[in-house]
Amino acid sequence: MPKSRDALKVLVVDDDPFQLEVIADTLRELGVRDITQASGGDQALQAIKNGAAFDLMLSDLHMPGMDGFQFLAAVAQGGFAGALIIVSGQTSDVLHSAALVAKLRRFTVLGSIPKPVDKTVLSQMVATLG
Amino acid sequence: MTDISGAQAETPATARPMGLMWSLSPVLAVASASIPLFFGGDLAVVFSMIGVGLVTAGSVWVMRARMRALQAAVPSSAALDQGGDADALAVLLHEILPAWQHHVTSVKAQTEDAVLQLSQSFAMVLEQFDLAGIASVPGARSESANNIGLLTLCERELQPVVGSLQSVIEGKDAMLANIRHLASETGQLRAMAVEVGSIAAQTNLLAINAAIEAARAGELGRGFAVVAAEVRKLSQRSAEIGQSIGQRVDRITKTMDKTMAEAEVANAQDGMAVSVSGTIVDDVLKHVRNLGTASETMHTHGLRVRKEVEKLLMALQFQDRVSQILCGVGDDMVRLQHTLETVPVNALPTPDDWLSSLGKTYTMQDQYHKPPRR
Repeated sequence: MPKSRDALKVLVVDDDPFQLEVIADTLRELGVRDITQASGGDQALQAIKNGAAFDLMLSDLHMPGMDGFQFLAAVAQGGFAGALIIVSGQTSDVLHSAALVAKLRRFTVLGSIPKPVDKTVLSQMVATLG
Repeated sequence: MTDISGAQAETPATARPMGLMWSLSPVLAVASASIPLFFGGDLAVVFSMIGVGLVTAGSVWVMRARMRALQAAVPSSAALDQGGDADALAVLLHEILPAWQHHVTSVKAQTEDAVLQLSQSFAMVLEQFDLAGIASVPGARSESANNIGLLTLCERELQPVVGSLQSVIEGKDAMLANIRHLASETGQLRAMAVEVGSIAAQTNLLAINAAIEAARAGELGRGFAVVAAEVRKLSQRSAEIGQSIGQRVDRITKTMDKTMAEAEVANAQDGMAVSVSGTIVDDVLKHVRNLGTASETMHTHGLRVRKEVEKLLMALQFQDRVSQILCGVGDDMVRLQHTLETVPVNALPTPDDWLSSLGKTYTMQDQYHKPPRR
């Protein structure tokens, strides 16, 4: 069931506080109000475990401690119902592979965005959520 | 320095006053050139040019005369007056030769050390190349062949994984077909249950008719009435069982429909997983292929660097020649020193004798030295 943007619950995961803020700002400009920021995989997993039913998650790949692939595997184990957008500064090869692995883990992958995040691209992806 | 002034002292007496005069030639030339500054006009320029020309030509002539005089003085130095100068030269050489020898030995030691260090470093570089699998020996090709082998290995290992996943899905498809078949069978079972019900109803009707007929027969039909009542009971039980079969079949059909629906959803998901797995396998193989290409490029460049290092190592063998020649020079200095100490000045060997005995120590053609023509 499509939700209006201001009702979307979005989780943003990135180890870089500046990137977190930039993505959150961009999402706010797109009309998203409920944004949770996590500075790493552990924090994000905790937020999901606390019962917040996120409609969308934006995750970085290159993070210290738990990298994006490990994080997605852990999230998939918990059964994540929301959609996923991969945001990373890695090469397109890595982004492509990450999207494939996420699909195999039954994520609804909306796409992958290279850094720096382009507002138009992000807007188009969020729009596919309805 | 005293030797040189001694040689100049041998300059012919005629050359001396002329030389003194002509050593002023630059002043004369400048003076001639400056004529037009003091006397204007074309004629002054002509005079100036003639003056400069004459002074320059004169200087050249005097220089040539002096050169000739110097060259004439050299052979005469071989016939030095046997006393002072030759002894002074012997003393000088006696002092200087050990110093020269020291320098030659030092140069030899320093270049030998440096070249040894260079050789060791380059040898270590080559060793590292070997460890990195960049060897110029025939084993080199096997490295790249290994990469290709690894790629083929990955393909051979991963493709069956996707294949086996596919066969799992196909196995599930067969199971689903069986369940579908079962569903149609239960449909027939349901029809049979309905049939049982209708037979029971008809039997019940017959039993009722039989009871009526038995009543009409009066006393004679009493036994038959008991039988009719029993048949009726049986028909009622049959009807109940038929109904119960129908209900059970309905329940089974519902469960089966649910299972079918769930299995079909799971099947779609599995099919998707298999197709994504296939894409992932291709993706991984692409990465492996890229790695292989990168390693191949690295190997090619490494091989090129290795060849250059090998060439450098070969070139460093020049040190052997340098040491050999320096050794020869050092030995010859010792010989000269020894000769000066033991042989009287007037009995010294001629340059040709000396050079010919030095020549016996030569090992290469390039060591032969042609003395400058006098």
